Amino acid sequence: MPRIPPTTDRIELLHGTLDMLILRTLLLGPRHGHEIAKHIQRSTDDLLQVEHGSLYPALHRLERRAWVSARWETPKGQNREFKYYRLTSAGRKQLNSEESRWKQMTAAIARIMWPVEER
Amino acid sequence: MFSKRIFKPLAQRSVDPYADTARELQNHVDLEAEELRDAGVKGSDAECAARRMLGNQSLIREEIYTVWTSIRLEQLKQDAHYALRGLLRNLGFSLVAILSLGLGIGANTAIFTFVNAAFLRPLPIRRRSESWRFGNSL
Repeated sequence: MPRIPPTTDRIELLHGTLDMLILRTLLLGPRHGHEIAKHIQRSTDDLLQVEHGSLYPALHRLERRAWVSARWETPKGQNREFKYYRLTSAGRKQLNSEESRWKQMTAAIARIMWPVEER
Repeated sequence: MFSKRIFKPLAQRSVDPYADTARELQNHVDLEAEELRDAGVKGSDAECAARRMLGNQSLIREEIYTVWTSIRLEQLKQDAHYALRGLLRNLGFSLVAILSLGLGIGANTAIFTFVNAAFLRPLPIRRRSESWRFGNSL
C-alpha cells in the first residue's frame, strides 16, 4: 500500500503561513512546485505537511501579485521542462513584512500562553 | 502605430497564464510517483498514490483560474478609470463629442417617433372599410 501520512503527528499549516514559507524557500534560489513542497517537508523533518493541492493555487496567487515570477526551464541533465518560480524584489519585501507580522503574532500568543508571573 | 497601441495590450491579455497548469500538475504527479517508486512502491500504485496526494486536479485548476480571472476584473476597472481620466483631461473635446452624440441620438429618436406614429403604425381604427380619407396629401 502507498504510504499515507498519519495525521496525528503532523501539523496542518495555518492559513496564510504557506505564502510566507514559499517565499522563504524561494529566497534560496529558483525552485519548481515539487521542490518547494519537498523542501518545506524535509526541513521540518516531515512535521509540516504541505497540502499539495493548495500549493499550486498559492504559487499562482503569488505570481499574480508579482511576488514571484515563473518560467518554464529544463534543468541540466534532464529532458523535461519544469515551471520554475523565482523571488522578485517585491516578493522579498513581502517576505520581510510577513516575517515581522509572524514574529508579532507568535510573541502575542506566547504572552497569553506563558504569562510572566506578576508578584 | 495607433493600432499597435490598442492591440498590443489586448494580445498580451489573451495569453492564458493558467493554460499550462495541467502540465505543471502532471509534472508534480510524475515526480511524486518517481519518488514513491524509489521508495519501493510498485509502478501503478505509485502513480495512483501520487495522484491522490495532489487531490482533485480540476478543482485545483479551477482555483488557479479564479486567481487569474479576478485580476482581469481589476484590469477592467483600471481601464475604465484611465478612460475617464482621459475624458476629463480634454474636457472641451469630450463635451463637444458628448453633446453632438446626444443631439444626434436625440434628433434621430424624435424624427423616428414621428415617422413611426404617422406612417408605420396602422391607424387606430376598428373597421378600415368604413373609414374615409380626406384630402390628397400623404
